[in-house]
Amino acid sequence: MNSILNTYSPLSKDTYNEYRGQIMIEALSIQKVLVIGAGGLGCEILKSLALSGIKEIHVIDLDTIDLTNLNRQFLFRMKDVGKYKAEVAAEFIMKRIPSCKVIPYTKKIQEFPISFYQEFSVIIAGLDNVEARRWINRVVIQMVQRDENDKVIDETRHYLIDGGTEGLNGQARVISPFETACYECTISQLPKQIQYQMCTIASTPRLPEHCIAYAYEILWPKQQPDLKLDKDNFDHMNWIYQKALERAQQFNIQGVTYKLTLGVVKNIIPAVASTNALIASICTVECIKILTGNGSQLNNYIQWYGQNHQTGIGINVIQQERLEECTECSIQSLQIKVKRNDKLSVLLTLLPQGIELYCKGEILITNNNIRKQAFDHLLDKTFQELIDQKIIDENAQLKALDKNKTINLKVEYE
Amino acid sequence: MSSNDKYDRQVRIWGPHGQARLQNARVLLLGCDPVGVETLKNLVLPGIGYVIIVDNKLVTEQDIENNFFIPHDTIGQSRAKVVFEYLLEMNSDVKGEWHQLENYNINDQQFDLIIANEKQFLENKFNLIELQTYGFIGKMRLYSPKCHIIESKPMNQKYDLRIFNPFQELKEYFDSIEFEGDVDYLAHIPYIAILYKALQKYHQINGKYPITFKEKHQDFKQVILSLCDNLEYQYKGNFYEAIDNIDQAFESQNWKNILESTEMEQDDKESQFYILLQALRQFVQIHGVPPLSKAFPDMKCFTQTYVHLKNNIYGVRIEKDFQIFKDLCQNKINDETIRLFIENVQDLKTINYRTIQQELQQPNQVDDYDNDCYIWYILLRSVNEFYQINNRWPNQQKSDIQLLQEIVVKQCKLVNVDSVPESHIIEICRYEGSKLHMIASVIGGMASQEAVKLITNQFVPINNTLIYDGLKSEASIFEF
Repeated sequence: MNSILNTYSPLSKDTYNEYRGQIMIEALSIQKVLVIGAGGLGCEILKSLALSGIKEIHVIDLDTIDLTNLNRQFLFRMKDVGKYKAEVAAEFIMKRIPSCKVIPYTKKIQEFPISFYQEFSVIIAGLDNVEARRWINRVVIQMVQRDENDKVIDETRHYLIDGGTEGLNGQARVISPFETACYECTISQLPKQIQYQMCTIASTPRLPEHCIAYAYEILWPKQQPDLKLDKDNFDHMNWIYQKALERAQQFNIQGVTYKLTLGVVKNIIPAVASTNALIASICTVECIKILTGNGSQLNNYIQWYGQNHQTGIGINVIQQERLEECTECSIQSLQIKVKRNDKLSVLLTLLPQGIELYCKGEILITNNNIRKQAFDHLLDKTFQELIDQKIIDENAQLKALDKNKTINLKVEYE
Repeated sequence: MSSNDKYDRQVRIWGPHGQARLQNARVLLLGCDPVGVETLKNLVLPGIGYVIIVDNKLVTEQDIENNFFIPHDTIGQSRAKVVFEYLLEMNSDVKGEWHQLENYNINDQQFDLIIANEKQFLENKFNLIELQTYGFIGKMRLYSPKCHIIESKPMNQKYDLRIFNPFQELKEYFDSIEFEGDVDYLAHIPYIAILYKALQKYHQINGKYPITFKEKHQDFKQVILSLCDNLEYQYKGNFYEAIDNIDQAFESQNWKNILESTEMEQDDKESQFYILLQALRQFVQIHGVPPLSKAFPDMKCFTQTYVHLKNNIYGVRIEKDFQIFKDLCQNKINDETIRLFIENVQDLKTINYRTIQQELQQPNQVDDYDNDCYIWYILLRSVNEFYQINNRWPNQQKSDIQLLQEIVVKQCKLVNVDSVPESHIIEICRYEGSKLHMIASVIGGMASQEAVKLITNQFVPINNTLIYDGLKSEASIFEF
């Protein structure tokens, strides 16, 4: 990698050619990258980053290792089953590549303050669910600051690279907030999950899946009202399987197996080493290009179909457009006049209900009950006090977020 | 823990028989560059049977920088040995051997796949994936001496429901369906019966069946809706299901492609696939249609109706067709393979690969391309030729750029391209043969997908080259 960073590149950005050589190599070696998820994609991303000159990687995953991870999550062995993914992965990478430091976290991503995420100019997400993706997408949007002309301050723009796989197919995208489509802009394009109709499950089952859904959705709550179904518990899953089998026999339906029962109840998405490797590495390539200015960025979404009947592989690079009415990255501006000796709580009466208010990326007001108390003491302070204590800047914009939109708030003092 | 199978997540893709093929496969890796090692890694993890790793070099500083399976404390050891140990440490199910050799004699041996990541001249006897990474550029080239795919697994499965051309028992069933009755009855008429009825009605009105896209998706759709005029919207679910599946109402002719297109080489005539195709030809001659396959979609209807259709009407016919087909195979094929063949008869696929020697002499011309991948292909050929002449890779010194440019002119002529941009020539000189781990890892992922396809004989592999441009994040497939 380093030898390449010395040479002139006619196909790269000016910043690369300006700083290529020793400066670039050193700059790369002090970059910290955050990887979210230490699973199928995460393991691969850690490996590829560590072998691309990144010296400090932080990785978050609260999951523990399951036997069925071992066919692809190559940093884990049989003896690691039950341990934290992030910890085992970090240890493995550091042992194999001692020049790279990997710092593991075993908490939910929602438990870290914004200031934590601000440390990283690139965040790579190898997640398996929509909710976490939406959350981290919101974080990178929140971190963006604007100058007095409402222009995005470049240093506050953090990139989010997101990958995902399903069987032989996968996708990766680069999100540059307020520049490219964000995750929320394209949320309507997510494929719908298969859902069986209730009346089919209850009265006219035809497929083995219908019988399993009956045992899982109707029989379990009815016959085990006090027991929460544990999908990782063999006895629980076997109970569902046996009940599904009974129902299938009653209706003369074939094909209920234990394996299928697991697939339906846990909504198992097939996963292989190969797809994870290629999607994770595409994400890594994007990360290194952002950090070094090499080449040009993926613009901005790549779909990979390893399952393609016509050509063997289908590859689409799509420039996803920003959504004008996006609930996360479309901006609304609002000017509010207050007196310097007004209390911060006055905003609660002037702003729409249920907002979170941020300044410099830190939260000021929130209606989130769990965290509310921590900020209550600010509400009684006057704006002048807050300015004096450097909690807010006199000229800085505040950012208000509610469930539906981002509002840039310009406070004028009378 | 609810599952005790560590391969569970992949067996859901290629089935236990696909897994068995993997576990019985012998794979040869020639050369321990990162791209080949990454490819093999993604085969060791899913439990490939036996690997043979051949490489004659000793571990250097560079290997440690770009190869995850060559740790920092192995400098000076045999690359083949180190890679072998650290790859197989991941999965105790996998067995194999390593050789520190320059030339490995593959005669008298059998391989299910050879992965070559250095220029090698091989006979065209085995499945082969040839790989190269060069700076930000990656390439994979497939070759298979005979590629006949039964389980091609299209994303959208096609069904053969015989709505247009029902066999006797099915026609009797369709004709017995009344389109009058209480709402509960009407709301549970299976959509295949609705499509059949709509076809008859369309024919009555128009004196012919729908042919054009408009006739099928507008006029015919109206006929379907006219069958449920009096029903309230919430009871029309099955009629809308019929509309969603309009294409099922017409005969699927896909199976004809394989009979028309396949040119079988003489020595292929002993192959199972050939025997099965012959049986198919005979079957079609007698019956006009291929044997009925067992895939049967869900459709909104009563349980008894569905089970009756599936088991008694279609099921009995499937069994009958199977027996006839089996007789045509004259005991040369086992039942399991015959069933698999019939199940997939609409999606069979064969690929005739050009050999790598043919490509080296004269690659196929590409007329339209919408990204830089074709340019990179020409430049990869050029730097490889440069290496053959000079035994080193070109760098950004003026003299090298000039030398390379001369070769590029020659290579361009060969594929009838006017020229390639100078910027790209300078860019490729920048790489000077460097092998980036992350690019190797991308190509290794792609190549191992293709490897699994070739070994399991499932899904459709590419024909025959993929170029990945990491600089712009684009990729294209070419038949060279």
